[in-house]
Amino acid sequence: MHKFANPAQFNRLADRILPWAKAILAATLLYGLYLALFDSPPDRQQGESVRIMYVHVPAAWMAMFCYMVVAGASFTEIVWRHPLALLAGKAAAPIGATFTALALITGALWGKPTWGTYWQWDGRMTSVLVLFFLYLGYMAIWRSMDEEEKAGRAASILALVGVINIPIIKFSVEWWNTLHQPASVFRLDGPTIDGNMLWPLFTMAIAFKAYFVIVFLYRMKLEINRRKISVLRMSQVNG
Amino acid sequence: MTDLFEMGSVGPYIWGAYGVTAVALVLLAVFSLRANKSAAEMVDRMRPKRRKKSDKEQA
Repeated sequence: MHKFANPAQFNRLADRILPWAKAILAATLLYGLYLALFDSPPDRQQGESVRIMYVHVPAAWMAMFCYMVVAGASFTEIVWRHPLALLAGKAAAPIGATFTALALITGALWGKPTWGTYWQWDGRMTSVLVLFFLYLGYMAIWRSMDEEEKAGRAASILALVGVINIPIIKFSVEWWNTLHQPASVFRLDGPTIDGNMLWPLFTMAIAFKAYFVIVFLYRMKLEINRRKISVLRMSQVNG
Repeated sequence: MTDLFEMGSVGPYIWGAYGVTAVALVLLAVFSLRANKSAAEMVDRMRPKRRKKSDKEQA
């Protein structure tokens, strides 16, 4: 793992991954949008509004996935002091916050025609809102301290404490009465959702994952460059 | 064409969801790429330039 602690080596690896990720994004996004908007059938109960699922559910998956990246990077930094781990958490957080905000907004837009309300303080929606605040808190801590290492350490601790929210989001639909339906894709006995809807859902999920890889790698490069700038500034000040 | 936009009267919700997703993801990507580009340019500007060796020095 420490092999990629060298920023030059990381940049070379990123430059090799980026073209592939861009190609996967272009292909899956175009195909996924076609399936989601034109090819997939309307739902028997929800009608056409089910099409919002193809952006809402992948966004919600990505919101949780990004948080696990932030938490994994924080754990790696605290335990192994990996030089790029802090930067990885810092790079992933804004992407995760964006996906969380999108999950909340598209969920509200799906909720209105389906349930008759934009918002309800139920377990799933409230825990996703808490996830959004965790992201905001993580990013605010980074900005609040001048010393990067201290800020990173404090933000990492918050990220690790916040991991408890991930199983709460996942199992909230089983633990509490909620407007959300129970899990219908990731189940031990297999998905209960129809194949005509599952395929566009997974295609869009792959597109969102490819988007994450691209933006994450560029943000990692950005953080590495920012670190270089602060080192160069220090060396200029010290003569 | 009108059917496509109305989608059984829930069109505004569907297009709203896709629209807001597109705008947010494009903005995040553009901001990240531009910030990285300007940071990389700044690194290049700040790096001490290596002086070209003159023919005499090379000899």
